[in-house]
Amino acid sequence: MLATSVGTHFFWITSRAAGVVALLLASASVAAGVAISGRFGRLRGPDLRVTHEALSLAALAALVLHAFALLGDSFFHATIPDLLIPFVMNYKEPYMAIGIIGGWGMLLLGLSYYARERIGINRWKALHRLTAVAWILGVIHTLGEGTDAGQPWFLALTVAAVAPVALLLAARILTTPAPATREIP
Amino acid sequence: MPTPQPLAHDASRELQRRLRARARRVKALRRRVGALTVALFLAAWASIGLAGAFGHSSASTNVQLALAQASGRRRAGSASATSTAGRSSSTASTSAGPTSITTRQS
Repeated sequence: MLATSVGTHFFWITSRAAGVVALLLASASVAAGVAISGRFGRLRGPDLRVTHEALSLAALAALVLHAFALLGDSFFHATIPDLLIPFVMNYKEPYMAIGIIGGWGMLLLGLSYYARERIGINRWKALHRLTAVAWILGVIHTLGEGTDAGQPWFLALTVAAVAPVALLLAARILTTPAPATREIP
Repeated sequence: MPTPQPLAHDASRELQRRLRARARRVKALRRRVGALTVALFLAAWASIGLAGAFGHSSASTNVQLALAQASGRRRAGSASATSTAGRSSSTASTSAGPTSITTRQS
């Protein structure tokens, strides 16, 4: 019974699990990013920057898996345009579209780090702050569309992941950032 | 005047030592994040897979309730253990099949 059920829903379960992981890692990454740019004392430093980068890349990988696992699901019948273009799928809208827009935002704004020299550091910094907006869209998508959204364990997990980041973001917005300092590892 | 070369050489070695230590730390951090990602994914997969398989998914229950409300006369029957694993109403009816939903005339 278990094998049959898991076998039938393999891609569906994979997508949901990847979505949960993407939310957790993206939240941790945003928290690390806010900590780098804000006034949070000892948390700053090159190690935190590396952690932020690694968490972001892991979150993006989970995000890609979350979307593309649906291609293999025999019930969902998703196509590539369904997963990449907002409002094409017409399933649980507007939360699906919000998720797609948030996903694109995270992907483009996150990967823009590697083109920051070309973009210009100041312009890139201003752009990169919008990653927090993409993360908020991801949270809305999770709560509005997530299959597990009604379950206590999932709500507890979401609150545990989102609340600290929301507080950090609020503190970051309400306080002026510390002047940039270069630390020796 | 003494030559500054030994000092410069020491500084260079110290810098190289620091860079190597930093590279090791970066590698370890990346490895840790990778391991954490895999562990989280496996834990989430197992939780969702097992909960769905044993019929504890409230999502599947909600689907059946929604189906019952939508029809007006239909009522969700005993939850099929392997029915939905948290499907949408459109797919649940497909995956659960007609046998898992009992109907009753009101």
